[in-house]
This record gives sequence, structure tokens and C-alpha cells, in this order.
Amino acid sequence: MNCREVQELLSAYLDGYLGSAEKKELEEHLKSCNKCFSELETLENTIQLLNSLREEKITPPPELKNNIMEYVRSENSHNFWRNRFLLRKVAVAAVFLLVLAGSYYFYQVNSFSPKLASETKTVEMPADTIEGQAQDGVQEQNLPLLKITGKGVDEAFIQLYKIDVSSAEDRDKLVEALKFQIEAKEVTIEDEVWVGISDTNLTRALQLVAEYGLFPKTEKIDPLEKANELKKEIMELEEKKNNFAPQSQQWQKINFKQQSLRQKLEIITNWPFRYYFQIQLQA
Amino acid sequence: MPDKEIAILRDALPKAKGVAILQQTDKELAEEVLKGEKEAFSFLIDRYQKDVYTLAYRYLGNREEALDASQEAFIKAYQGLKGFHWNSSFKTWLYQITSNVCRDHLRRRNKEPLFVLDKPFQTTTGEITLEVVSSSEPPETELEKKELMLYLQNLLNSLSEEFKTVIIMREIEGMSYETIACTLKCSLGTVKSRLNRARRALRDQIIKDQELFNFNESQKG
Repeated sequence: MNCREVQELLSAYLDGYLGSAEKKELEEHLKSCNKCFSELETLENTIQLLNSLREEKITPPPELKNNIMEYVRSENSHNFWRNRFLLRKVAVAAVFLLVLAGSYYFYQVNSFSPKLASETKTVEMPADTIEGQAQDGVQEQNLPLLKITGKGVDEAFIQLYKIDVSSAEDRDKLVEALKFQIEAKEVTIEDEVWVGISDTNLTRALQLVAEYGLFPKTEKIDPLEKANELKKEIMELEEKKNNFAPQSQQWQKINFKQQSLRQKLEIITNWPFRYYFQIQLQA
Repeated sequence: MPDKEIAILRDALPKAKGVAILQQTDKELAEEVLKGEKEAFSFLIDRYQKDVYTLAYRYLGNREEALDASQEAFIKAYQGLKGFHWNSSFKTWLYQITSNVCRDHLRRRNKEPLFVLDKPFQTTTGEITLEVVSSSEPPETELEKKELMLYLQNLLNSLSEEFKTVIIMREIEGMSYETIACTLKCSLGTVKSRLNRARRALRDQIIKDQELFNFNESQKG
């Protein structure tokens, strides 16, 4: 047996699917050939790695059961499922048309709101792909490839998100997942998690926490709008503060609130936000 | 599910939860459904939805399609319940249906895989492959494990339908070569060589990713 023949048989050998003569011949070869022996080892490691997927179970969304039971209950009315199915196809197509119309903002919001993502197929599309790979949903409908080019892209893709979580425990899980992503700069203000992160890493972080059954709501913060909002709020509080004696309990309360708003304002104004996008459709 | 397992589960679960469900075998539930007790089907969904959904996800690589395929599989099982003769367990049968539905989906896609691993995504940071976890070290945290699972899933996504099917059947479903050959209507020799080629392709990719990972790590610090 030569090396090529041996390597053809290694996989079956590991599964115990070789005849005794073949097996003996192969083992003889392995004793004297380091190259083939190391091939065997790496192949075995690969199989072990793949087997680790066996234990990993993914929790389906509640729609699964609900939709099936809806069908089961309405089984006699045949049009039901068909109509529903068609409606959904239309909805998905509509979403993609809007995406391709070039509304970058829309595209982003849809990609990274976990709820919407489960309704469309944009969930796994990394938004910071410069040369956008065709996305499965897009390609399925024979639409052109989406190519995004950007100026100042290095700044552009780190964005500020507000993420809502319902409990402290969920917050910790999320923060852990975000930190695990390389460049997450996370800021926590009161009960909210604010995070400066690229869209790809946010998506990956959300995928990770989704494995825990956690689907936090994310909201991309429009820096200018938010900054104006915060300034206005700070001014209003300033007026309110004047109604009370300086350093009184009420005054201090308002002052504290102001401070936390100023902190947010500072983060927003210091973040590298200015960016320009150009979206091109590539046939 | 064998009755013995049900008995174990019954003891393990808190009394208030699902006792009535677990007293019934899959067959009993199916019989109830056939008698017109439609709601009994929901107990079968409860039992197997996680397995079915996971299997669909392994094949299809995204949650949206996995949801569609799982729904389709359960509905096919519901519609075919009458014709099912219990030659195998309900679970095995359901898995077969799921596997067929998923392969149909893949064929319908008829396209390049979503993630092509040997052509990594060019991102601003250029680091899609950087997030690979080295296979030689055991994953340390729960998150690293999740990350590894994502990596493996992406590896699966990168395979052609032919390779993916044989890998899922063998490595995840744990099917014998004979069963795979029977399911795919091909010879035992074909299964052997296809599995060998698929595994080697994956092995080569993992080694490549690992080298890149190590390179990036050394660049970092």
C-alpha cells in the first residue's frame, strides 16, 4: 500500500469499516510512515471536533410550535397555509426590494433587530462587508449582488447601539458576549447597555446570546438626533433646578440626573461617527 | 421514546409539569391525534422540536430556513401519521423526514454556499477567520464553546450539499455507513469515499484557519 492508497482509507479505518486484510496492511504502513500517521491524527481530531456538534441543541423560537399547531387546527381549510405562505414570501421580497433601493439605514435596522432578523433572511449578512457577499435570500430571488463601498470605513463601522435587557443576569451575559468580541467598547449607564461595536461583531454577539435564549432589542443611536435630544433635556433640567435652593435635596436629585445625561452626551459627541456611504448595485 | 426513558423522565420532572404528557408514549399520542384529538400533536412537538430544529439548522445554516424546514417536517409527519407503520421509532422517522426536507431546501437553493471559507470575507478589520477557536485547546468558557459551535456550523455551511449531507448523517446523526447508503440510494463504496473526501476537506480547512488564527494571535502580541 502506498501513501495515496492509505490516505483514501483512513476515514473508513477510523470508523472500523475496513476488512481485516486491508486493516492489517494499513496498520503496517502507519508504523513506518510519519506523514500518514499524522494525517490519521488530524483526521481523528477533525471527527472529534465535528462530533461535538452532537450535544449542542438549539432552542427553536416559539413560532415553530405555534405555526404547526395553527396548521393542525385549521387543517380542513386548505387555503389557510397556502395564503399564509404566499403572504410571507411577498413580505420577504418586499423587504429585499427596499434593501436594494439603497436605504442603508433600513438595511441596518433590519439586519440587527433580532426580531425582524428572524422574519427576513438578513441575519447573517455582515454589514461591514466591503465587497458584499451575496446574501442567501438575495441570491435566492436572483437579485443583484449587494456591494457596499465606503469612505472612511474604518470609522464608519464602529457604531453606537443601545441594547435593552430585561434583567441584570441577562445584562451580564450580554456584556460578556460583547466583550468577547474583539473591539467592543461597552459603556453602561444606569440600566442600559450602550455599546460601540461594529455591526459584524454585534451580530455575532447577538448570535451568541441567542444561544442562551436571550434576544435583546437593539437600537442604533442616531448621534445628531440623540445629542440634540440630550442637550434639550439638560437645558430643561437646568430650568427646573433653578426653582430649588442650590444643594437642596431636590436640586441634588436633578443635578444627578443632569450628570448622567451629560455623560451620555459626552460619549455621543466623542464617538467617531461621521461617515459617508455609497451603495452600489452590482449586476 | 422508549418507555424506560419516559419513566426516568417522569421521575425527574417536577410533578406539576408535564406528568400527563410523559405518561403517554409517542405511539399513544399519535393514536390520539388520529382519533381526532389534534391537541395531542402539540406534545409530540414539545418532545422533538429541539432535535428537529437543530438538525435543520445544521443542514441549512440559518434560523429562518431552519424554522421553515422544521415546520414543513412536522406538518409532513402530521399528514403522514396515518401511513406510518411504526417499523422504526417516531423520532427516527421524524429525523428522516427532516433530513429529506432539508436536502430539498438545499437543492432548491442551487447556489454557492453562504460562507465560502477559503475566500474569507473582506471586512474593515479583515478578521472573519480570526475568530476561530483553536481545536487543540479545549474550550475554556461557555462562550468559547458557543463560538466554536458557530465556527463548526460555518464550516458545515461552506460544504457542498453532497458533502454536507454525508457529514451530518455520520458525524451528527451517527448513522451507520449502511443506513447512509440506503438513505442516499448509493453504494457503500460511494459513502466511504465521499465521507473520506468531505472529512479531509474539512480537516484541511481547519488547519488553514488555525494557522491564520495563530498568525493573527502572534501579530497581536
